[in-house]
Amino acid sequence: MDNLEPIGSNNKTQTTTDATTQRATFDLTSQILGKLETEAVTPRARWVYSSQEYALWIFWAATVVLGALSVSVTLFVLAHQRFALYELTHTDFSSFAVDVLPGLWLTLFMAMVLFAVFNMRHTKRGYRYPLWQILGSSLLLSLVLGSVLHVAGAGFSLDRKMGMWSKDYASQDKLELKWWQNPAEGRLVGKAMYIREGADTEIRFIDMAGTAWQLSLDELHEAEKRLLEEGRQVRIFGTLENDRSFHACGAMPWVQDRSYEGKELDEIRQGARAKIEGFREDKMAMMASSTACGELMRHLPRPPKLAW
Amino acid sequence: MSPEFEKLTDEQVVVEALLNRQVFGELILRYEAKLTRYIGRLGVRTYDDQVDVLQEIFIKAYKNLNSFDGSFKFSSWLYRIAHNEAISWYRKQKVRPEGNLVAEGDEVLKLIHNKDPGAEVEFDHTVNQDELTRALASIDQKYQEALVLRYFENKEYDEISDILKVPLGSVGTLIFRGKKQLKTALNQNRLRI
Repeated sequence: MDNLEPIGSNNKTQTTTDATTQRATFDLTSQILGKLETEAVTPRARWVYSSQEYALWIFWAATVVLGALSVSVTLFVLAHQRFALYELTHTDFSSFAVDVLPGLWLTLFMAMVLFAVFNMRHTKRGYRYPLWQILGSSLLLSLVLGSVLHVAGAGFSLDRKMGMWSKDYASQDKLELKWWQNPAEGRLVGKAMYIREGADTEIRFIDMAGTAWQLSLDELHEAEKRLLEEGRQVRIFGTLENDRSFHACGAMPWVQDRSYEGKELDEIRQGARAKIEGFREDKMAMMASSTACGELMRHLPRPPKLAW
Repeated sequence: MSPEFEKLTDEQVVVEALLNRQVFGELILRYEAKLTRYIGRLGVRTYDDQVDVLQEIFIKAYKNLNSFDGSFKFSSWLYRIAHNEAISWYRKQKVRPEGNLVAEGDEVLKLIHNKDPGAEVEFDHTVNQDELTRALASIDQKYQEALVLRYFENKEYDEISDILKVPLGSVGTLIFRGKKQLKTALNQNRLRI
C-alpha cells in the first residue's frame, strides 16, 4: 500500500508504519469477495435504476406542465377584462391588485419550478448543468407552454372548473360575481327580458340572485342597449332607485358566462372592447351633465377606464 | 485473479463482474491502493478505519454495479462512491477531516503556484509539509475535495465534475478559490508562496 502515511509527526509516522505492516498481511480482495459470497450479495437489478431515472424525468415533466398550467391561469387572470373598471368595484388599484393577484397559482408556479429543478438535478447527468441553466430552462419551458395553454383557453377553463369543483377556490367568475352582484353599490349581473304587451315593451332585468328589476335605460348608449337585447348575461352599473328599480349607466358583457368557451370569450371581449371604445366619449361627456349617471360618475375617484 | 482480465478495461471488467462475482476482485485489485490513498486524504487515517471504509465502498459498488453507465468513466463512478463513503464516515465520527494530504506536498505546492496566473512571488522549495496539511485541513471542505482530486489524484476537470457531482464550469471555480483559500491559510512566513 503506497503513501498511506500521515506525514508530519513522529506519532503519525509510527501509525503509518503499523498500517503498512498490517496491510502487507491483509488481503482485502478475498475478504470482500468472501463477504459478498457469505451474505449472498447480488447487484441490484438494472430496472431499479432505469425506473428511478424515468420517474425523475416524469416528475420533471409533470412539474413543468403544472407550472405551465399555473402560468396559463395567471395569464388569464392578468389579461382578464376586469382590469377595466376597477374604479367601480374597489377603492383604489392596490386593493384591487391584492384581490386579483393569483397568489395560489403564482406560489404553485414557483414551487413547480423548484421541483422541476430538483428533479432535473437528480437525473443521471443533471449535475453537469449549472443551476441557472436548469432553472432558466424549466422557467422558460413553463412560461412558453403556459402562454400556449392560455391562448388555447386552458387558463380560463381550468380556473372555471376549479371554481366549480371547490367552494373554497376563488375563481374569477366567483370574484366577479361577488363584486358585481351588489345592487346597493350600484352593480348588477343578470339578463334583460323584454316583455311586449301590445305597443308597450317592458324591460325586466333578472339578476344573479333571481331578483327582477325595473330597468331604466335612458342613459344607455345604443350599443349597450343592443347588449341587453342579445339576451346574454350582462353587467350593469348605475344607481339604485328603490328596491325594484335600477337606473342603468352602463352595460357590459358578463365575460364569465359559462356558455362561452375561452376562444369565443376572447372574440366577444374584442368585440365588446370596440363597442365600448365607441361610446367612451359619450360617457365622458355624461360626467359633466346633471343626470343620475353624471352624479354617479362624479363620485367615482376617476372616470371609469373603459379600455380593456 | 485470472490474467485474462488484466487486459480488459474497467468498463469491460464491470460487464464480466456482473456475470461472475469473482471477476469483481479484479476491480478491487485495481483500485484498492488508489482509493486507500484517496480516502486517507479525505481524512480516513487509521488502518482499521481505512479497511472498514474500503469494504463499504467495494460492497456498495458491487451492489450498485448495474447503475454504472458506460458513458461515464468507471474510475469517476467508483471515486464518487468512495467520496460519499468517506464523507459519511467522518460525519459518523463527527470529526473534521484532517486529511493525509502531504505525501506529495512539495509537488502540489509547485503545481498550485504554476497554475495560478495571479501568483507573483517565487516558490520556496523548503516547504513545510506539516503546514500544508494544517492549511488544507483548514480550508472549506468543498475546496479541499477539489484540490485533492486535482493535485493529489491528478483527475481531469470532467472527472472531478463527475466525482463531486458539480457542473463542469464550477470545477475551475472550486479549484481557483481553493487555491486562494489555501494561500491565505498557509503560513506565509514559512512557505513564502
